[in-house]
Amino acid sequence: MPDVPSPRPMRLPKAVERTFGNGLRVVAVKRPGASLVEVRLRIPIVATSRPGEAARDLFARTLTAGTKTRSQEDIDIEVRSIGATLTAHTNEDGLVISGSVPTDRTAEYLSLVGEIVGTAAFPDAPVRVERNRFAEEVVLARSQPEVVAGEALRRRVFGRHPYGFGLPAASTVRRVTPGVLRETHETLTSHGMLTMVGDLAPGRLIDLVSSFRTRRRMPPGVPPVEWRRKPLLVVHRPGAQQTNIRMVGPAPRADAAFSLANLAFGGYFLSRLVTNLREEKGFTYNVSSRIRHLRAVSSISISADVRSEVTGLAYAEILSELERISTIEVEPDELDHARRYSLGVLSIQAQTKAGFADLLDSLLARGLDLAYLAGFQKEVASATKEDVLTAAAPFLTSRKLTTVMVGDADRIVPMVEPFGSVVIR
Amino acid sequence: MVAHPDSVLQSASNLCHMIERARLDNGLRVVMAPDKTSPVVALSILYDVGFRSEPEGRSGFAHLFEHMMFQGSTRVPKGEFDRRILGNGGVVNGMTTPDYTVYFEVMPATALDMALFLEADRMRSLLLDQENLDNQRAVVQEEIRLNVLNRPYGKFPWISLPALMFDTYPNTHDGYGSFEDLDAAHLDDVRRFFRRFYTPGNAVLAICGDFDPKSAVALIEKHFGPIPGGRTPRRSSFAEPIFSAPRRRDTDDPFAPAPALALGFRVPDPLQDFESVLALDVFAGVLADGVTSRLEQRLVHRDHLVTSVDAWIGEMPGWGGPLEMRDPTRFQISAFYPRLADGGRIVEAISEEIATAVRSLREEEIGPVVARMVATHHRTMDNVLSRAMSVGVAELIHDDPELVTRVPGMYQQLTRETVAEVAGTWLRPESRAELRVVPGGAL
Repeated sequence: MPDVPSPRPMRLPKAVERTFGNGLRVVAVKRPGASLVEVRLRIPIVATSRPGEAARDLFARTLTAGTKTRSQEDIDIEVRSIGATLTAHTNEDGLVISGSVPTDRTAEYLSLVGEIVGTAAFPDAPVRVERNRFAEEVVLARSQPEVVAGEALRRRVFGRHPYGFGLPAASTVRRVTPGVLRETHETLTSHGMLTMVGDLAPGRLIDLVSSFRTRRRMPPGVPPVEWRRKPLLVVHRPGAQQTNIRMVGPAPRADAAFSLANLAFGGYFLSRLVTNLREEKGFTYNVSSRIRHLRAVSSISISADVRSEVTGLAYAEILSELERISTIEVEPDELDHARRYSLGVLSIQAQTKAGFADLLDSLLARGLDLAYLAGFQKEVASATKEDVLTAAAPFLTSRKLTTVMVGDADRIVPMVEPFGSVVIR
Repeated sequence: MVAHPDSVLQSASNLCHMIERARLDNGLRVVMAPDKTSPVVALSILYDVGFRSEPEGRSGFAHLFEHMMFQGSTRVPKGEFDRRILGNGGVVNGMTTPDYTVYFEVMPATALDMALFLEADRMRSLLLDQENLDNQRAVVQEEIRLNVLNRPYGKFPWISLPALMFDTYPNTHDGYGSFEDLDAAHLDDVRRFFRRFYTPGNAVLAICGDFDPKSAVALIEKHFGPIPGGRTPRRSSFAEPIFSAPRRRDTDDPFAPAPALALGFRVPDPLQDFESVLALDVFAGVLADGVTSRLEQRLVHRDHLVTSVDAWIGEMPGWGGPLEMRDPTRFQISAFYPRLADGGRIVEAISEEIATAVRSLREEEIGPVVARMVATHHRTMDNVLSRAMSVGVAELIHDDPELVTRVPGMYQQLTRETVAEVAGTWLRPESRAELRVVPGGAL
């Protein structure tokens, strides 16, 4: 069988950065290939209540519903006519605007995006239509078991913290007025982060950003998160054929060794969770673990969708894999594979402009940059199995993780009761 | 006047402008498009067999077989394929469509030799045993529970609309198959299927990214050359006549909180009349791409009848689109709507909008649709794996890998008259299949 040399750390392009007078931070990178510019803009918004969360989500959905001078239709036609895309959505930390434009149309595109962010008008008629649509979609989303599971987990772990709000109730959505959206817009921070990746010199890309002239407003702070482990919660879903198992706990802020531990545990197809629960036992199609970074917290989560009758067996296997990864060193092969995979997929992600933009944007969102990525790759290349165990032990353990299961309670509760106390909802 | 993003067109086409083709003595077709901009290479290998070819009583078999391709060979033990690709920094997967099954890898350029070895190895000497069959059958059944049975609208309307639109088994059954048929799959079936369809003459190998075509050909010759050619299976026609009276069916969904409907129409044979299929693709955009599209304007913003509406050609929105289809295939519209809305009124409104659009289609509504499609095409082609998949499909289905580079121009050349005329011919109420989801609404 042919031998393959270990992948080299990816060579990183030079990023050019400029912070505007109003606090907007712009980072641009040149990448070869198709003549396109990928654009990501993050603006932090912290929701302090459930209605506030509903308003924030609707804000993103109606941001392109019109400005002081353009209708929703004008914006739609303009974006499509230049072959561009433009979407806005929210996550726990705020607004994420994401789009792509042919390079020779970048100036007009950025000017349009600047106009939208600066002068969005939230006109009554399109806001009402979108509000109804959003309320209907909430109902549809809540019928999806993984949405129910995600919601229940967030609420269980983060409680009254803004990260615990999640998907709003349809009735809350219906009460958001256009006036509330305009107020949200009035208080929007100017301290956004703009990422651009295209086939143009980074300095020239940044020169095209002239239209983000909003008044300087400081970014909102996020309250700190306190982790407290809670007993297993079972959310009853009558007639469910599968159980959606979700576990979450804290993770370190930035650590190459922990990311290798996560890969070996459940972070990719060669991981222990996939090998054990899917390839050996056939319990599931879908089992994984992943690390996620938000402004106020980093977390490790495990998810598995298993057929109802093996819920107890699957849970036992996950717990025993946690015990193993947090107490015994990984095998040399496992470490080598995780290392190569980690370096290889970075190059693969960076191959497209969209992938590179997402990568850079996620670094900036964590307060990091490409220099961090260079260091991360070096650490990945040199981490030992002792480093991996040291990183895993405090986090990849059932003592830190809170579990939620969505499934047919009548069938699954008797199977999971032997593992500790169970709360049923 | 709408300006087309020509600059994108040129530079992006350059990414696959140097397409080279080769054919080994055993019949394996090879397509290569080198591009040195990133130290990454993508490989796809397509077999000319999909779920339309699986025998009656064995629905879901082509997809189950796709899983078996990862279970080891006589020389490479189970799990080793994934370990070699992922453990060298690559990603790997497979996909089963109506007309072909594709396996693909993206990896650091230095792993190409290894990937070619592994693909050749499983083509030559796949190991098929009972234990792996039982295990993968269980995994596939979990996949079906996850994506279809345990959720509302599971793969709607992909799972259920073909049964209403067609009359013969190859076209009516869904690619996941029934649990009963999956349970009936026998090891002998798997062996027969492999011998019949997984031969070099029935396959296309496509490579894109950072490699040298000359040395790649030598490696391909080394790894695939020794595989005996065997007999290339004759491809059956799946053609069937188009029905001439509207069809309608209701289907219960115990998990769905609200109703949904889907309309299906037949389209021309893409191999006979590709231009008309592209015209229908543009018409789908006129109907449902963006807030200014006709159905969004009418159903969402004016009449407040639906929550969302979509229109597309082929299997599912976001799949390969017009390029990857043989005859017969379909044009579809789907809508999700609140319980209080009247499904009949929605269908009527859609019919009216189609008829109006055919009568009064405007040049300036086609412009943005085409501009978006062309730009999306180039955005997709910026991805080395998408390139390897697209040129492979174009070779397998159309015998013409460079079609990939011509598609943007073909969209741009479509006239308003052509789009309207083709839509008027194919999207008639009398050849419409209508499927409605009746919500049960648990949880």
